[in-house]
Amino acid sequence: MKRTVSVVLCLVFVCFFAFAGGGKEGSAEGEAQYPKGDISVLIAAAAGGGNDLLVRALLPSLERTLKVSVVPVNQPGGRGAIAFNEVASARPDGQKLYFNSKSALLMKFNGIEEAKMERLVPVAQAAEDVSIFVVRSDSPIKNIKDLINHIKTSKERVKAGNSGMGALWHLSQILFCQTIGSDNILSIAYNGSSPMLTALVSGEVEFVTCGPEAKSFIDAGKVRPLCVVYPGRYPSFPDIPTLKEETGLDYDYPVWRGFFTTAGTDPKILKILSDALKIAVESEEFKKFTAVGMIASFKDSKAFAEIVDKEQKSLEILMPGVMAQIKSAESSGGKK
Amino acid sequence: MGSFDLYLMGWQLIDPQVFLMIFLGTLLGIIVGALPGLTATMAVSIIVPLTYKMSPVVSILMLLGVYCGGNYGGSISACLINIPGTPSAIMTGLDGHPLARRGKAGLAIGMATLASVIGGLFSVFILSVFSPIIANIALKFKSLEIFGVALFGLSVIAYVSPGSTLKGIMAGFFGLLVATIGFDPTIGVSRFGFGSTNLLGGIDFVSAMIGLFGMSEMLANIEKTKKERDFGFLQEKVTKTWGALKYIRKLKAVLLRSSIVGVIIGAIPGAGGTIAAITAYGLQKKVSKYSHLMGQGTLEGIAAPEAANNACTGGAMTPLLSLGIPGDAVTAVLIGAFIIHGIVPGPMMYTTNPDMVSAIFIGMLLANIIILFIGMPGAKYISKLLKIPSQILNALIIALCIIGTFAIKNSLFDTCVMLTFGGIGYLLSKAKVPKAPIVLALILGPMMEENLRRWAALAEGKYWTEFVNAVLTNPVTLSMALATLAVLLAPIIMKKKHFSEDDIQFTSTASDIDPNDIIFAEKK
Repeated sequence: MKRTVSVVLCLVFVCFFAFAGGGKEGSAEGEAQYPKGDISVLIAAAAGGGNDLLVRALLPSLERTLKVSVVPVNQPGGRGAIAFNEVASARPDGQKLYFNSKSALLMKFNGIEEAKMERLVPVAQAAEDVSIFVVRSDSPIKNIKDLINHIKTSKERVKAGNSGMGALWHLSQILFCQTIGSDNILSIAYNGSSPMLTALVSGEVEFVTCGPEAKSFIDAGKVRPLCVVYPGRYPSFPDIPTLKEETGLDYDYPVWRGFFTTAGTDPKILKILSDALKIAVESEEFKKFTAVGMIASFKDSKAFAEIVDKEQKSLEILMPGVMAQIKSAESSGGKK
Repeated sequence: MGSFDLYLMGWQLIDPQVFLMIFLGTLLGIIVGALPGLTATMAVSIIVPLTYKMSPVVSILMLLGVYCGGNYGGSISACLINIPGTPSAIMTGLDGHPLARRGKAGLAIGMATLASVIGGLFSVFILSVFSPIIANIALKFKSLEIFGVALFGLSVIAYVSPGSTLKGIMAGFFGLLVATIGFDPTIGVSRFGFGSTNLLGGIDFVSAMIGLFGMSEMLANIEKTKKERDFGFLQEKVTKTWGALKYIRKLKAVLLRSSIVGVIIGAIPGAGGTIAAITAYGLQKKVSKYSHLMGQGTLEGIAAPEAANNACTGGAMTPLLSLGIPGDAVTAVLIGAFIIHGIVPGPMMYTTNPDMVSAIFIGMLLANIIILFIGMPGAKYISKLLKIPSQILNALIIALCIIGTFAIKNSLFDTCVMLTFGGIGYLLSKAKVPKAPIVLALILGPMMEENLRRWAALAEGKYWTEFVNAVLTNPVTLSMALATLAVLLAPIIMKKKHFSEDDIQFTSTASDIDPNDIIFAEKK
């Protein structure tokens, strides 16, 4: 009996301590000055990934400008939805920021209904990256024209890899197909870029669409990049031609990474944050940050909001069809 | 890349700080391993969140130190108090304790240390030679092969886990079920979400593991009565540990044989140090000239299981690094640590993070050398730690479990997941259901599902023709299919399992043996 009691007591204590952590924060004060204290940046990704490294590279400069601590909080849970929710439902005082890539816009279409962009307001864009088309290094496909020809003439659907259905690079692939006017591909989902590139190397798929994370595979000589989709040569990969150079075809697919905060935040606060971020992005220490192949590219809250808004609108038209297609392909067992 | 680059490039990552962390990790591992009730698996799982802020290299190498140290540390308490500090030391006490009782505690622990180090070093050698080769083959694996390997791994786990096969399979299926929570891997449909945003991303694997291995074991410890906790501590001075050195040459066959057993068993998914130790001891008993004396304080009875359980570490790392499949429960926890740091363990690591792989080889090498230099002179101090009241330890570890799970993603939900799994794990141990299959299924389940569905998508509806085609043309698919079938049918064909902890009885009442007949089996 004594044992049972002690076990139960212990459990009670454990639960008590576990739940005691979620205390309330200090009460509201006047909106006199900003920032009112430490700012937290919720990163919708695990520590050590591209998004995380990028935010951490910006922090020292931000802290110098804003004169408060800026605390990075990694919150990869629920595929970024938990961080999104937390910022979206915070008080609109600019003390909580949300950092994500264009994926933030796609969440809504990928089954996370509450991730509506209207609940956040763009603060500033910090970086940009690019879609790359890649084949195995011993593939007969030597350039992007070969690939387009192959897709158009192949009797069987050309097997392509994406790093997640309806995700960033899959969407780029879909736009690519629309641009070349042929959807004779069978796009297979992988759980992230690394397994996808490995599958490309194993020969399971013929080509993949991915981001700058292909760098290590390209450097190791395992895969061959065909082109990037970017208005000009992409600074991290100056040797890779653009789609437009090679074929004259082009589609607009900028992949931004930027900061958001709770909707309804005072425009003055947005301005302060945006200005501080501008200094951080344009600082020398951030320019050296090329570890993950992204490049620094600043846009202030207004310009960033315009981009987000424009993309949001085009995605509203594009995505429902894409998702319906993905789901019907799955339920029919992949038959065409 | 030059052929030796893989073995050399990691050195540049090993700076004094990294070395210090490996040292600390190993020391921590030995201490935790030595303390009864705290296992190596638990040590690694509760330390994972603490390494979260470190760089990936420091974090992984420190955890490897804990892993290697933990596997060894159990032998100290096994020799001194006849309670294995960690389950893999289960066989060490059989001969280690009688020897210690005869006043040769130093010799017993010295032997265990040397055997551990030799087994460990051997396994690092095997790991560094074979894992790049296997990884190179594995790079050609497509979805169906990966599915086959994962399915084989899962079926083996159920078979080899201690206790009944049926319970092992049940635990495996429970793990698979838990693994389906959250978004499905291909089209992002939410499963078992119950409208909770927290469940969208699935059950956090590290939190579940800390619950299963950390929290639940603490609950079981608390339940122990005072009498059970107060093990008769042997007031034996641990001296002259280096004395064991002179028996190494005579025991070299034993050490080599047991190391090979350890590496092979370590590489089999799900079979960890415990089974390696049991098998090596059993084998030794079969081949030894002095088998009738084993269990009464022979040196070979210490050397065999200790070499085997530490050789397991390199063995278990081999499938982890080359295939992305964990070889035992601890390496399953390590996968969680890799993922936290954004590294996907598997064959692509040799392309994407070759310096990391290299640093892992070097780190394990260093950890084993550190064991030698901590274990030989330090065993007498570590043995004093056995007197720490378990109430203090339990409270400390429960606190670590809670803080740690919160720290991974700053999510209180994950702490609740940990507590839930702590409760589940506690109930499972009461029902004698093994917990290792659950964690391995948590990792292998999504892997199997993803690859099977990918293969199905690639087959474009022609499943049977594609499958028959794959089996006929691809040796890997065929052999994996046959091996899986064999493992699943084995319990039906063979009535009795090979690996059962119930078979081992602690018959170490050595007091009735004539002390003059000091049995160093190999010495005679």
